[in-house]
Amino acid sequence: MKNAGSAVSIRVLAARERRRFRLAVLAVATALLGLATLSILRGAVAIAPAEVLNALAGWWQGSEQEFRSALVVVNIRLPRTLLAMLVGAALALSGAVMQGLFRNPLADPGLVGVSAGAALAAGATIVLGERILLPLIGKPPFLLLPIGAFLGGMASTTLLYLIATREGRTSIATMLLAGIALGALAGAFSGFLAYLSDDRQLRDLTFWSLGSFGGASWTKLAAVAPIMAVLAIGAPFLARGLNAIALGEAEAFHLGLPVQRIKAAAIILVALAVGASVAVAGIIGFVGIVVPHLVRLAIGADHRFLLPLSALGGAVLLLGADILARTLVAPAELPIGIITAAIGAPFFLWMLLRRQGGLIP
Amino acid sequence: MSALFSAEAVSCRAGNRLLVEDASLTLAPGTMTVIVGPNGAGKSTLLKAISGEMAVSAGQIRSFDIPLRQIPAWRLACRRTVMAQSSKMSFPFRVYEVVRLGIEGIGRSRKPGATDDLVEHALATADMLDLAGRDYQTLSGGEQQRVQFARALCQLEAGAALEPFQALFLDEPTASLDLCHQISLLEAVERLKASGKVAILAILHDLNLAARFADRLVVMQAGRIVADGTPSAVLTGETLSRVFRIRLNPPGGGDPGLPVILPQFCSIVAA
Repeated sequence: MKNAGSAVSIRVLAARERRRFRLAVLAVATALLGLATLSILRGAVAIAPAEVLNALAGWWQGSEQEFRSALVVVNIRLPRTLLAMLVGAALALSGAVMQGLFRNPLADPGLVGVSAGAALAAGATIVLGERILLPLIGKPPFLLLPIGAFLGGMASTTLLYLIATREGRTSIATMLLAGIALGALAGAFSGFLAYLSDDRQLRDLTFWSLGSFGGASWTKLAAVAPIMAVLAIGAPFLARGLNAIALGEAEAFHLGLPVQRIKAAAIILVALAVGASVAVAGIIGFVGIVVPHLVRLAIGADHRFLLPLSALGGAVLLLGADILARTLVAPAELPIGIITAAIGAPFFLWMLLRRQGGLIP
Repeated sequence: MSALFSAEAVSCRAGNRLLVEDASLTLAPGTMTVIVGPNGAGKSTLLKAISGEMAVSAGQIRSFDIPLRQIPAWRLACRRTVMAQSSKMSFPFRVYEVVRLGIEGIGRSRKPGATDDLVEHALATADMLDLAGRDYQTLSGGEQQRVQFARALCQLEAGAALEPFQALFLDEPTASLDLCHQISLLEAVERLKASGKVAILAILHDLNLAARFADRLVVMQAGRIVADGTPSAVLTGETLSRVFRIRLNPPGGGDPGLPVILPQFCSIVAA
């Protein structure tokens, strides 16, 4: 070799990388803890921190609590905080996975119509499901909405992939344009559903299109927690495969990876994450594009580091956005989709401007 | 012994265009086969067919008598390594992470430290160790090609644990390299060959390099193999003018004042 005495050691480089990852996890986790505390302390109803602590302690010990403040903390703020964290993690994770699958940092489930597809399926489940299913079985089943949203997300991701990929090559221009078309189509059908719905259903549909954690409850949390657990267990297995696919699908095959199976798993994972998120919180855009991009800037592109850190970062972003959503115009509340779009859309434009060689590589 | 890789009367189509027609080729460990030919002759297609990336429309690709389609991807990856013409990464991976991909598909059982050492050795062989921490996307085309060569070396080394005999497929590995690195890459390939365990199939455009490093030269034209043999037997004036449309001795002897450079050695000392 040219420089026999070269000081570059891969062991040292790799160790430095792992240390940087651990530091980043520590920093983001600390921020998450701080925001979670803030999220539980603050709200439309002013409650003293000591009272909040009392309420939490009582809830933890399982004692009966009749105070209004205790009910607010335990039944509203706590599930809302947890739900915002879970949905943020799922959205950022699905963004990172989708970008890995499409080999492009501009892919985002909200941007390319996957969320709209999930929202349409969820809306159809609300409006049509109640007309067709209710007379048959009486009460709407517990998981009907998440399952409907999942199938919608699945259908739109698969359709998008089929349209944008020819002979193993995914065209980013086709993907973005097809995503816009799919999103518009899903939006049109959702609008049509609005005409079929009654007042209460209409409110639900509006909530779906802008996103909110206003309806957070322990029931919703219980409905999505199993899906999030599947994500947390499944995503790490995708990391190696996505690393190889970054080199190209043919190259990933040369490296010995089951490319088709990895792609199928990635699509299911994205659909699960987006479906569950849309079912409980509606459409919340840009989380999946902002967070993974920032993580790549901070610690690099290796998916083994990128996926877990994106999940943590997504939890931070959405929790922060939710705190803003309920304090900016208190005692009223903003839909959270407005906040994430206000942050994310300029960020997306900045990414486009920074990108060498324009939009299409 | 049956062949490490063999193509038997292989044809490949894209739509209704015939890219490769009735090509037969066998690869044996310890030999280097070089495919040459004009643009569009079907060289890359034949290489992709034998490496398993592209389906054949007629004929059969086998490895040790087993049809390629029946060998699982991970097992095939232990037996052969492919270095494509050019590889773009879609994200800011670091150079050593790209090289490590060569091990990730097949060599999971290795200890992290052993993996790092293997990556380091491969990078040193490709003369890229100094840039190991750089973002791959910011490298020049030639540097990227050297990183991909290091990645291929890594995969070969990792696969050797399972497969005693392996093949290395190189599609224009020297296309973007400076003269010195062209020679040093091919010399590294020659050392692999000398181990007697690796068969090499490469596509080269430089006939001087091809003649120097190939044991066997395969000439393709319009999808067919038109000549096959030792470099001295194949590179005749007749073949050169018929296939490549070039003449060795132009009338008048060319411009005597023009320097002709035929590099023979590289001053990079091999690892």
